[in-house]
Amino acid sequence: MNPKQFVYIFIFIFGCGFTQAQVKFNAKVSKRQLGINERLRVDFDMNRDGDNFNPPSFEGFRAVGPNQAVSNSWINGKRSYTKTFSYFLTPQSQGVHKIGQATIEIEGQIFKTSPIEVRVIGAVRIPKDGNDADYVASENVHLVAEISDSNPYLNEAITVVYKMYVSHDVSITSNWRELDIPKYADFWSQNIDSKGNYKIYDGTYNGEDYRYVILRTTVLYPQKTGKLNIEPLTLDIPIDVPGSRRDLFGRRLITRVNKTISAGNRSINVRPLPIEGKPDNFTGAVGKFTFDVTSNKKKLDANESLELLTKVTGNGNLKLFQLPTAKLPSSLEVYEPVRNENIRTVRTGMTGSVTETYTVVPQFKGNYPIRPLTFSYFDPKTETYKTISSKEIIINVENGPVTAQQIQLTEDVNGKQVDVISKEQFRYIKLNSDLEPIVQVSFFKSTLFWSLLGGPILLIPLFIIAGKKREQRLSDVTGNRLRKANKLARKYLSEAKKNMGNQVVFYDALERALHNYLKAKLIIETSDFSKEKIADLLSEREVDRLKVDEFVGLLKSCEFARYTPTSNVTIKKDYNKAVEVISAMDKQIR
Amino acid sequence: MKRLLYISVFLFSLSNIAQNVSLFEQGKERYKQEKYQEAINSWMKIVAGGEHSANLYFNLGNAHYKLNNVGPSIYYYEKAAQLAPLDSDIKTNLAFAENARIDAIEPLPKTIFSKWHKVISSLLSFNGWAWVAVSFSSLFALLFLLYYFSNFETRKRVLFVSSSVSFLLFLASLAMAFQVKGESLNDNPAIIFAESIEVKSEPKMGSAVAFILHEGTKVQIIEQDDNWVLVKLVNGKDGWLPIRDLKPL
Repeated sequence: MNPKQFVYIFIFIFGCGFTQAQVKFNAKVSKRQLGINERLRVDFDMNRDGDNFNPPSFEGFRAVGPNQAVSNSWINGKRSYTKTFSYFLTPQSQGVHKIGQATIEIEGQIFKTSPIEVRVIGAVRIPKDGNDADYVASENVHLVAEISDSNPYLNEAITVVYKMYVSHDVSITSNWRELDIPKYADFWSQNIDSKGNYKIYDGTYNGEDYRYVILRTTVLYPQKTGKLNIEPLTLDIPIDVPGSRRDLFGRRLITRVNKTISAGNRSINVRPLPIEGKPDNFTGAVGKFTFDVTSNKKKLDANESLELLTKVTGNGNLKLFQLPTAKLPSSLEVYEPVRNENIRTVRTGMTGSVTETYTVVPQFKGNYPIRPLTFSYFDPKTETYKTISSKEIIINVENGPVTAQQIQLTEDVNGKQVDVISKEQFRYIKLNSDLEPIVQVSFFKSTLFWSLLGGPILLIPLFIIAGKKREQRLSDVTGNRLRKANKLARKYLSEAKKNMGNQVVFYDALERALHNYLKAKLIIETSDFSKEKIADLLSEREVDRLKVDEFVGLLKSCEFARYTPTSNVTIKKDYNKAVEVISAMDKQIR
Repeated sequence: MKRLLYISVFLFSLSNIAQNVSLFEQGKERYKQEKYQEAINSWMKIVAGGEHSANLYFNLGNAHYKLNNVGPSIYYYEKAAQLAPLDSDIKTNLAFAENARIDAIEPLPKTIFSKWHKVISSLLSFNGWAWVAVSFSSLFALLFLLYYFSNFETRKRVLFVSSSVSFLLFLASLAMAFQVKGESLNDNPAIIFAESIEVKSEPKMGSAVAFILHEGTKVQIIEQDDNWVLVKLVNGKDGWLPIRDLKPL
């Protein structure tokens, strides 16, 4: 053994003695995590006796204790000393709780334990644990949440009933305390409280006879779809458990056990309302309803008021939907509706009626149809949408003005006019048909239109030119005479001209024409006048000798031609000659 | 053959006219008996037969009003007012029917000139203005020629002035005819027949709702796209709605 090893051994032995002398003060818990219905033991132990032990406050727990235990032992002449303070803790609420520092004074010095965190979770099943009062209590008292429908539709009423079953073996004689009250975040909820008067019913739990009380009934209307959690109700119940021991009089000794009982977590699955067949005017009413629109007056005068009532009666989420709004003609003055709810909440849900009252003041006379209002709801029993239509209401305003303009007009004049205007009646049908074809030909832009429009204007220059020509002619004297003579000759010769093709008729007509001309000019009455006489008469009238001869020659050729055939050329020549002679003679004749 | 066809058409139209008059009488009788729907049926046969009149439409409006059909009653009163704009009976009963409709739309304020224009242009239809223009053009031609050919100084002066005035009036009435015709082409009023209709900002079903209209409201059709029409209200708002929800006048 070298000196180094010796030194180590020495240090070890010496060290042992030293540790022996060290003060220890520790806190120990039986569990780091526990259910709210379980208990926890905390030990504070020290290896020297101390004074002024000061336990922590145990916030969040109910503490029972302390129990003191001291153990002294001598082993191989060595003394070991332990002193323990024990507490039993019952958690009051869920969550992480801290067990604070305990202090003690040992040999004039203050020692502290380190704080310990304990997690308290929801209620857990407690394993069976023999025949003690606690176990008996837990086996004989049960809290049950009964949910009427775990698969409801959105906005369909469900009822949660909390029942406490108590077996005949135990009894509850004093009041309990509610530790956790469910909040129902995703529901519209209403409690129907028993108000402390609990009625005791007989029932069975798991096939055994139990007594039960209904602690509370809650009506819930789910406001969200999907999986919703219903938080448990947790109660702290003092339970009297009869023990196996008896007192002097032979009665069983009763142990009071405080149990924390929870109804357990329940979840429901809320179905959305079917999209198929959802009416346009659906506002979220679920249940079974009737709908009605009524008016307190059907006939009234302008500026009187009437009340229009829309009313929904039935079972369902009455407080959670809007009533259909009445749409009224614009000339009726309508005030904001007054909503009136007459609803009771019973175990099956809300029941009663919701009414909205509109105050309506008609301004003008006439008939005002109030169109049927429709109200739609979802009936979860039949799983269909239903629509109720109200009846059409017709309001007859008997007296009053017809339009707003006429009111202003009457205000301008005096009050007497009002009556006259307000007697403006609805006009009766017209008795004359006055029918006309629907398809009318448009006159505007038609050809007739354009010609009638432009015609007169275009005619203006024509008229002007014509007028000018006329003036010119009037001013030309010789020309006028010539034209006149030609005109005469043409007049007399027109028949002859027509028959130029036929020789006999032509000369006949020519002769007659010549004679007629002479008759007109010379005013000879007799029809048989000789050529000599004609020549004389013409000479008397200062007609040129040459022309007279020509004229007589023409007459002669007429006679001659009646019996001898002549060519067309001669006819033409004779005609022209006749025209020439007549016009020449006309100029000379006096 | 052709002549025969003409004769048959003429006779047919004659018999048609006689039938329509008897239908009108029948409708009157049924209206008197308060059988309004039957009266409407008789009168509608006349319209289907291709004839109409302001009086017929007025009576149809009355029958629909009695049946509390707000939209159709306004529709037929408006049609009657189109044919006879100055009839006070039509105006009175239209006021009754308009009181019963749900929408109250305030028209945009108008300038004094547009009011005057409306008063003047509503005096006559474009055909009426066309006839006025035609008569003024003839009058002008006559007066001008008289002026041209007359020899007396004073008469000439009077005739010149009156012919120039009639020429100006001719131009003015022709302009009115064109103006009124143009306005009547742009004027496509319609009456909402659906009880309540959402007017959309775009011509499709899922589009945002611009506003809501009810039965009996008069709108102007601006454009048409398939089964949708762009309508404008008298207060200047516009939007699209399905064509089946309204009936053009």
